[in-house]
Amino acid sequence: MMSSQSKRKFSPTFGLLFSTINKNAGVIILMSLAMLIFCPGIFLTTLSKSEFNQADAYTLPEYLDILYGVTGVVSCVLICVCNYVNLAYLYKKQSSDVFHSLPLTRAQLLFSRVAAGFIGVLIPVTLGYASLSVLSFFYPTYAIGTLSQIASAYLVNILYMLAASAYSLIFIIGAGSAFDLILSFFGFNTAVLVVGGIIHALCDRYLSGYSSAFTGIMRIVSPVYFLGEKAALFAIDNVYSLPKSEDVVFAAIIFAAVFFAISAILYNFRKAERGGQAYAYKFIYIICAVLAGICGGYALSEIFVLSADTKELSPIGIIFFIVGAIITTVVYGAVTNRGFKRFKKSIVLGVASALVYGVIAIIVASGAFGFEKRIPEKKAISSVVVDFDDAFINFNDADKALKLHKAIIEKKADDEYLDTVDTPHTYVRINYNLDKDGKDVLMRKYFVDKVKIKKELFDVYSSDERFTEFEKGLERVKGDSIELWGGKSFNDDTEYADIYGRLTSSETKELLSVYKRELKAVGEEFYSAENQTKHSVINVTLTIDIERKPKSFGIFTTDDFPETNAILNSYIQSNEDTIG
Amino acid sequence: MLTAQNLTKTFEGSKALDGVCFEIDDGCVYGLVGSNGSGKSTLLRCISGVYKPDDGRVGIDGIPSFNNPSVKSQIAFLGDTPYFLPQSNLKEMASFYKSTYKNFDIDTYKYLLSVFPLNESARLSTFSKGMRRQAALILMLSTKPRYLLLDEAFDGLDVVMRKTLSNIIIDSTEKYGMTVIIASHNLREIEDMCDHISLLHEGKLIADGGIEEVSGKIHKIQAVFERVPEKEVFKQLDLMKIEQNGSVISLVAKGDRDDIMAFVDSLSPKFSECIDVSLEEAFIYELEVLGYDVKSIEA
Repeated sequence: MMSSQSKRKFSPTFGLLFSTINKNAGVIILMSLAMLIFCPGIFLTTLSKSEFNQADAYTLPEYLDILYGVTGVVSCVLICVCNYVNLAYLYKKQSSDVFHSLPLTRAQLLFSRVAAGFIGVLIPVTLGYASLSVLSFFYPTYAIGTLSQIASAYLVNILYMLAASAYSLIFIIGAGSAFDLILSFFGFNTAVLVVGGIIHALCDRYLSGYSSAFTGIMRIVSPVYFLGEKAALFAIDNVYSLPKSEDVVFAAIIFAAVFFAISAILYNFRKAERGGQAYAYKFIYIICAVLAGICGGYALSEIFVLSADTKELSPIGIIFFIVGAIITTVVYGAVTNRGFKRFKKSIVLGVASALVYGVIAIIVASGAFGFEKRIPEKKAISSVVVDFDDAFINFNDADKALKLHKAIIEKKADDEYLDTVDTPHTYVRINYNLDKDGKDVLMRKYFVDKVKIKKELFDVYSSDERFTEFEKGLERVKGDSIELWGGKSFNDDTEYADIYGRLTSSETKELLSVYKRELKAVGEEFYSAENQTKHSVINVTLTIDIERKPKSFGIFTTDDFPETNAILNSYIQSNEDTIG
Repeated sequence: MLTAQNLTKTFEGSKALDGVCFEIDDGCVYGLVGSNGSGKSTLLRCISGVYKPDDGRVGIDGIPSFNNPSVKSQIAFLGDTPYFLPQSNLKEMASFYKSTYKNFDIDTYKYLLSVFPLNESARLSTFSKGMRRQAALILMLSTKPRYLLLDEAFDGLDVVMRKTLSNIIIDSTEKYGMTVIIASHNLREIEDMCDHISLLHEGKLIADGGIEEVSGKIHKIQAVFERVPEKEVFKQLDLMKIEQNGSVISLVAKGDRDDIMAFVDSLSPKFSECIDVSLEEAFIYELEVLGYDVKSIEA
C-alpha cells in the first residue's frame, strides 16, 4: 500500500515555501500578537470605556483610520523587509550556491521565497481585519464601519502589499550587497522626488503656460508617491468604499503586475556570481548615480545662481551644475566602489547627469514639444475659466478666452522675469474643460505684461459673462447682505481710506450698471501702463454668500470712473478709521 | 553521463572557463585539480546549475543543468564554505533539504548522523569548521544524489573523518552508482580516492584521464654521459623540462616510456634510469610547461 505522502505529488516549490514559512514562524506569531493587541485590543478597550462615557465612542472612527493607515504602511514596509530577509542569500556566494543549486527553476525559487514572506505578513493583517469584522458585527451601533468597508480596505491593503513587494524586488534583485540595496532603494526613491521638484522648478520658470502643481510631476516620476496619493484619496474621499475606488484597485494591480514581471525577468537573468558585488545589474547603479548627479548639480548650481542673482540656465548656473554633478557622482561612485577605483567612470556619469539635465532643460525651454503653443480647438472646449486680478470668469463660449490665450502666445506677453516695478503685470490662469465630465482639463498659467495684451484682457474683463454670473447671484440675496469692502488710495500715495458698506441687491445692480458703462467707455486703455500705474484708485470687492458659497466681484477704478467713484466714495469710512 | 561541451564562463572580461569539454561516466570518483583561480569551483558551479554558462553547455545525459530542476535534483553541490540557514540546527537543515529534494532519505541521514557524531539539535553556528563540513556532507549525501560535487571536500576534516568520508564516498559509489567530483588542491587525497582526474589551468582542461594515464604519460629520466649531447638533440622528444648538471642530464618528457628510454639509450649514456612521477610532480610539470610560477609553489 502506498503511503499518503508518496501519493501526493512532491513539489520542491511548495516544499521550500512551507519550509521558509516554518522557519519564520516565530516572527509571524510575534507580528500576529502585535496586530491583535492593536486590533481588537484598542477597540475593545475603547468600547468598554464608552459604556461609561459615550464620548469615547466618538474616538472609534479615529482609531479606525489609524488602524487602516498604520496597518497599510507597516504591512508594506514589512513585506519589503521580508523580501530582503528571504532573498538575502543573493548577496553571499555560499548562500547563493546553496539556493541556486536547489532543484528549482529561478522563477520557482523566487516565487517560493517571496510568497513565504507575503504569507508571513498576510497572516497578522488578516487577523486584524477579521477581528475588526467580528467587532463590527457585534457592535453595529458604533462607527466601526460596515463589513463591505472593512473588506474594501482589506482588499486594497493586500493589493498594496503586492505592489510594495514587487517594487522592492526590483531593488533587492538588482543589488549585489545589502549596503548597496539600502543605498539604491532610499537613494532612488528620494532622488526621483527631488528630480521631480527640479523639473517642476524648471517648468515653472521656463515653460510658458505651465501650471501643474508640484504633485503633478511627482505622480509621474515616483510610483511610491503615485500609489501613496491614491491610497490617501481612497481613505479620505471614498471612505473605504470599493465601488467608488476602482482606480486605486486598478492602479495597485497594474503596478504589482508590471513590477513582478520586471522582477521575474531580472531574477531570471541575474548572474549568481554577482553576489557580494555592489550591483547585480549596473543599470541600477547608473540610474541612481545619474539621479544623484542631477540633485547634486542642481544644489550647487542653485547656491551660485542665488548668490549671483542670475538664472538656472545662465552660464554660471550651467557651469556649477556640471561641477556639482561630477562631485556628486564621484562621491557616489567612491561609496559604491568602496574607493576611487572607477574615478573616470564616475566623471563620465557626472557628465551624463549634466547631459540629462541639459536635455530636460532644452525640452522645457523649447516649449516641451509644443506644450507652450498648444491652444485647443474651439469645438473641443465645453467651458473655460479665466482667472486674473480680481476676475474669475466662466465662459461657455470660449472665443474671448481663446483670443486672450492666442494673444499671450503671439505677443509673447508671458515673462517670468519681467520688470515688476515698472510693468503692469498679473497672473492669468486659463483652464479649459475639454469634455463635459471635466476629467480632461487643459490648464495654463501665465505671468503677463498687461500692456502687451490690453485689448484681449479688457475684452475678457469687461465681458458680459463676468457681470451676469455675479448678477445672477444677486437675485437670491435678501436685504443689505451684500458686502462692499476695499480701499481708496490718493494721488500722493501717502493716504489711504477704507471703504466698507452693506448694499442691497438693487444698490449693487445700480453700482454694477454704472461701473460697466464707464468701463466700456474707458475701453482697452483701462490696461494701459499709465492707467494701471495710477496712484489714485479705488479697489473694492463685492461679496455675496449664497448657501455658504461666497461669490465676489472686483471693481477697480481710476479718475476715469467719476460716477462709480461717486457711489464708492459714499462708503468711505470716517477719518478716524483711515490709514495715513 | 555528465558532459560538458565547449563550456565557457567569463567574469568581467577574464575567462574562468575557456572551452572546457569532458565526459564523466557514472559511478566514478573524479578528481578536479588545478592551480588557484584555474576555474575548478566555477566548473562545479556550472555543473550544479548555480552559474549559467556564457557559452557551451554542461548537463546530465545531454540535458543542461541550469534552471532545470529535473537535472539539478540529481546533483548535490557542497561549496568550499558550507552554508546553513541563519540560527538553524542540523535537524532544521535536514527538514529544509527534505522539502526540496525528492530523494532525501531520512534513513541515510540517521545512519550518517551515527557515523559523524554531531548533535543535531545544536545550532550549526556553534560548530567548528570541520563539524560544519561534516554536517554539510551528511545533508548532501542524504539527498542521495546521482552526482556529488565537492569543492575542497576534506578541508577542515581531521584524519579520522577524512578516512571515514573517503570510505563513505567509495561505498556510495559502489552501492548506488553515485558519481563524485572532487575539486581539491590536495593531490595526495585525490590520488588515493579518484580513478579519474582532470587538470585545469587558466580555465582550460589541460589533462584528462585515469590517474595512471595522467601521471603515467609523464616520465622523468636521468642519464649520465661521457660526452653530454647538445640539448637540441632531446627536442625530438615531447620535452617538458631538461636540466644539465655536469655530465648528468635530467629530463621530463611525455610519451611512451619505452620509446623515450630507447631514444635516450640510443645516445649511449653511461647510465640511464626512468623514475616514476607522482601525480603532484606531474601536476607541477604540466603547469611549468604552461608558464605557471612553479618556483614560488616549491618555495
